[in-house]
Amino acid sequence: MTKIECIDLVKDIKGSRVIDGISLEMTSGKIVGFKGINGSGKTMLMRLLSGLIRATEGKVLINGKELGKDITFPESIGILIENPAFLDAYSGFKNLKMLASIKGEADDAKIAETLLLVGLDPRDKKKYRKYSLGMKQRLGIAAAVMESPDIIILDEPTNSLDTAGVDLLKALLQREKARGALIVISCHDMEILRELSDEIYVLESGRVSGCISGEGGETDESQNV
Amino acid sequence: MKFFRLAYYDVRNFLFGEWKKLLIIFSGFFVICLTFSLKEASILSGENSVGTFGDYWLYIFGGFPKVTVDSALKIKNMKMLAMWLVVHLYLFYTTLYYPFNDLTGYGQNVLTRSRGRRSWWLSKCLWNALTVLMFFCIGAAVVFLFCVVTKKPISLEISQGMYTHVFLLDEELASGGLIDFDNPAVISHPSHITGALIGMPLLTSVAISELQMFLSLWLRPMLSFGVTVIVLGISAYCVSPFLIGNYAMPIRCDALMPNGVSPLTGTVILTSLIAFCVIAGDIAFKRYDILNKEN
Repeated sequence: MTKIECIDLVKDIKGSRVIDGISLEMTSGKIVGFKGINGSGKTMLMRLLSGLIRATEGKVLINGKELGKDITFPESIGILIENPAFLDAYSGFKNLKMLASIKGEADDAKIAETLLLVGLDPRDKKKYRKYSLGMKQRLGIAAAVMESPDIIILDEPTNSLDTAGVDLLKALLQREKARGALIVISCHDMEILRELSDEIYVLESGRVSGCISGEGGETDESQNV
Repeated sequence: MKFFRLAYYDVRNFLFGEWKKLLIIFSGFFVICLTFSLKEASILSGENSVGTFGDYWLYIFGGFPKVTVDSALKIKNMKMLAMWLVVHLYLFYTTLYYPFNDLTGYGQNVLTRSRGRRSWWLSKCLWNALTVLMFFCIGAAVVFLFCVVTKKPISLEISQGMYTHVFLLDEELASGGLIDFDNPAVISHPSHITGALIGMPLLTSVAISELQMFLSLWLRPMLSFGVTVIVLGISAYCVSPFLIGNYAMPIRCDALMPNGVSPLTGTVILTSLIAFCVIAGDIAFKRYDILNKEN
C-alpha cells in the first residue's frame, strides 16, 4: 500500500509562489488526475512529489517518510515530467536498458515487453534522434513504467500521441492501476482525464480549487483548500 | 555500488554520445604536433633538430613566461597565448554541458532511480576528473604516435633549444633566467620539473573543471565558462600563486622562472579547491531544485 500525503505544501521559485498551500492525500491502486491551465502549478507539484524540487514550506510524506528529510526520492517511482529526454545516439531499447542498469530491476525481456505495450518495436535500431515526437513520448511513458514502480508520475502523457497512442496509454494505465500502482497524471484533455482518473484535482494559481470525481464527474467544492 | 554504476553510466554515455568532441580533441592535438614539427628545425637550431616527446609536450602544455602589452598595444607572446587558451578552453567547453544537460533531461530519470543525490553529484565529479584525464591521455597518445611515426625519441627530456625558445619569448628572462643552459644535467634530467610538466596542467584542469561544474549549480553553464575564461585570461597576464591558471603553465614553475609559482603550493591550492567543490557541491546539491532548462 503506497500513500502520498501533501501537507500545506508551498513552493516559491525566484520570488514567485508556484504552489500555495496544497494539502491532499493519494493512495495506491488509484489514478489521480490534475487539471489546470498553463502555470497553474501542475508540473511543479509533480516535481515536488518526485523529489526533484524541495518544498519551501510544508512537506510531502511517502508512506510516512518525509521527502527531502527521511528519503531523497520515493523508493519506487517512475516519472515523465514535461518533455521526454533520452540519449540521441541510442535506440529506444538501448536507452531503456541503460536506465534499467541503474537499479537492475528490469531485464531485456521486461524492457521489450514494455516497449510493445506502448506500441514501439523493441528490435527497431532507429536512433532516438530520428524518433518522431509521438515515438519519443511513447518511450518516455515506457521508461516511467518499465520497472513496475509503486508510484508513476506522468505530466501531460498524451502530448504528441495519436488516437492509437492514447488508447494504448489508457490500457497501460489501467493495467498499472490493477497492479496496485498509484498513478498521478496531468492532462489538458478533460475527457481523457475524466475517463482515466478516480479523482481529479483542479489547480488554479498553485492552489487546489476543486476536486472532481472521475466516474461521476460531480464537482465537490467543499474540498477547496 | 550505485555510485560505481552511475560513474560507469556517465563514462559510457559520454564516450558514445560525445565521441565527436573526442575526435576533435584528437585532431586538434594532431594539428598542433604537425605545426611544431614544421617549426622544429628552427626552434631547436644548434642541436640535432630532433624534438623529443618532452619537447612536443612542452610546446602544447608548457605555457609561456608572461604575456605583456607594449606601448603600441601589441601583445607579446600572442600566438603562444592563443594556442594555450584554445587547448584549455576546448577542454573546459567539453566538460561544460554534460552534467547540466544530464540534470535537466535524461539525468532526472537517472536521479530518481539512484534514490540519492550524493551518488549523482560524486559520479559527475569523478566523470569530470576522468574526462580531463582522458583529454591529456589523448594528447599524450597523439604525441606518442607522432613521435613513433616520425621516429623521434620517446623521452621526457627537453631539448635546450626548446627551453631557449620558450624563454627567449621574454627578454627579461632570456637575460636572467634561472636555467643554466650550459649545464646539460639540468636540461637532460629535469626531474624537478617533470611533475610540474605533466602533473600540474592535469591537476589544474581538474580543479577548473570541477569549479566550473560547481558554479553551474547557480549560473548558466556559459556564464561559468565565462568565469573560466576570465581566470585563465588574467593568469596569462599576471604571474601569481593565487591565479590558478599559472599552475597550468609548467614553464612558470619556480624551478625555471624567477618569481615563478611553486608546484607544491599549487598542489595544495588546487587539491583544496577540488575538495571544496566536491564537498560544497554535495551540500548545495542536496537542496538544489532540479528544473528544466527554461526554468
